Amino acid sequence: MFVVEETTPSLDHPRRWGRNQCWRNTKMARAMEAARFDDNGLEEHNNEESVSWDDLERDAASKAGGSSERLQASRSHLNDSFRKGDEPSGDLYELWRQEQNSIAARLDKELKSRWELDELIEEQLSRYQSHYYKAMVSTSLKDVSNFLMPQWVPPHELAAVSWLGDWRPTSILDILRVQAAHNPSFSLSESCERVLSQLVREIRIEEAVIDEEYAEIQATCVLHLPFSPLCNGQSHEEALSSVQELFGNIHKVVSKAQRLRYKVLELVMKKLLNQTDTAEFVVAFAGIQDAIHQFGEQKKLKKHYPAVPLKGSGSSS
Amino acid sequence: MPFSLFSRKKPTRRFNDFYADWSKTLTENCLPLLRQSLSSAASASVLSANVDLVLRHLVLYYETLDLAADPNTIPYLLFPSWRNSLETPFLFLGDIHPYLLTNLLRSMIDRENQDSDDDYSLHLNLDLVNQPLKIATAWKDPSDELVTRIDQIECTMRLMVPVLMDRMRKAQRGFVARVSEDWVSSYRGGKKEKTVTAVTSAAAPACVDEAAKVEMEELVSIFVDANRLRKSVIMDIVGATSEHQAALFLEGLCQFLVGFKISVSSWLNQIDFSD
Repeated sequence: MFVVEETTPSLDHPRRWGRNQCWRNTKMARAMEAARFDDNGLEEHNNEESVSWDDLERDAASKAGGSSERLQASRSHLNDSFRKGDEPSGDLYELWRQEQNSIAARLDKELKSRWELDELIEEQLSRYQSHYYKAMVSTSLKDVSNFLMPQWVPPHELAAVSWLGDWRPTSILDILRVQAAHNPSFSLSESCERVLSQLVREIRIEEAVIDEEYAEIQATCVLHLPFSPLCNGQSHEEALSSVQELFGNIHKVVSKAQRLRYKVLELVMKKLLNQTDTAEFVVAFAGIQDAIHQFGEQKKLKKHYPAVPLKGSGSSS
Repeated sequence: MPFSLFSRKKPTRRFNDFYADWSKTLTENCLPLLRQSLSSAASASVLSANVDLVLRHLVLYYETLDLAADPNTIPYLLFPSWRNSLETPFLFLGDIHPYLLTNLLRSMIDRENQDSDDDYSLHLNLDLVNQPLKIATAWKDPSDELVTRIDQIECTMRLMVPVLMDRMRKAQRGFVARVSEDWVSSYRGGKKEKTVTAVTSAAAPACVDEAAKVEMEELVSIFVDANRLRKSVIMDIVGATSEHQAALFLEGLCQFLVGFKISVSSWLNQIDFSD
């Protein structure tokens, strides 16, 4: 593992260097290990390097869990190769070089695809940013209402997940918790899991603060609407400005909720997770959103609208 | 749900039709009735009968909401399309926030007792300039008994509202967690078989269905409890106040509920914060 750390930093993408280096090296080791085992001719020539490779394997096996059988199998293959007792010759040297070049080319490709992964992640993060910031730029009274109860989102989807018009920030973190618990390829370290639990607690408090602010508007400020029994005798201008102020306040609360959603995504994607986990998370978030959306669309087609017995005429007299 | 010859179900009507009628009755019958009985001409028994009638009308609304709520319909009730753009931002679990009720009552009392120097209370309602003194001063120096009772009502409510919100949060987060678990395992299963071509598999909505069933049942229960709370706060306030006070409170509440309906057109196109 340390061999890799010393020799590969320059290969890593500079933007992500420094984040979870430990994990990264393990991943790198795994990638190299995989590349190596795919190509059986390589082993018989790297006798001198076998100590560091063994270190890598042990490390990779301890991190990756289930792969030890495969390692065992390839080790015996390695021994078999040496038992043949081939002496390195010119041909073999040429072969060795070719294979080295082939591995290097594949590694190069892997690294490039990593940079692509980085770019994709950055792109998605900025898409989240514009989504959560843009949504509230134009705000007429109708826009505020549409934001909180969007006509284009099926009602079942809204009821299932919506908090102030979009996903709860804590629900976004729950996806991450589920991944950490149920997805073995997710490599969240213990300290990261502690940070995640802490983050869930903090974001829950921030959600509650926003809930309080919103309740204050819904239950107290609402009494300043012009048609309130407490506001008789207002001029049209006074009334207009009181409605405007009230909706401005709702707009502020909704914007806070939006910023909190983005803050959670940014923290998760930039600070908490490494590259692969971030990619896994984005894929899961999109997939789960989509599954819930499809469910909502299906339910909407069934048109189970609320109905009441006909005798309830709407009049109590 | 359409009624057809082949259906053995009892005849039903859409809730939004009920609501339209209910609102019409509130605007055209309840509010004028209350205003009438608060005028000098009305006798005490008429006032009492009308307070009863309006209270029944409000209670009918909450009871009908409960009847309409089931796991299939709950999303439409929590996000009612029959509410206008002015109302939707003020909906708490599908209807007015329960705190609004006691806040309205307190504001009525406070205004009457703080503004004693000016004659604000006299033009508190332009329709009621001729109201008898008993009604004009109904909120003046409320009894200790009333103040204590309002405190009690408010206290209970302030214990219950956070519980409702907490349940809502747990229901939603539980749903997301369940769907995520299913999604993660089916995604991993799909990965192993190398059959995943798209991010979602066709089977995804099936597992969402299961998780949603549990959540929707809980949402119905939360909604019914929220309505019970709103209903009981209105009834408690009417029970705790004198007949005149109850009439004034209900008149204020009805005016407020009706106001959302009739004001929306005047504000809809005028309010814009994009400057």
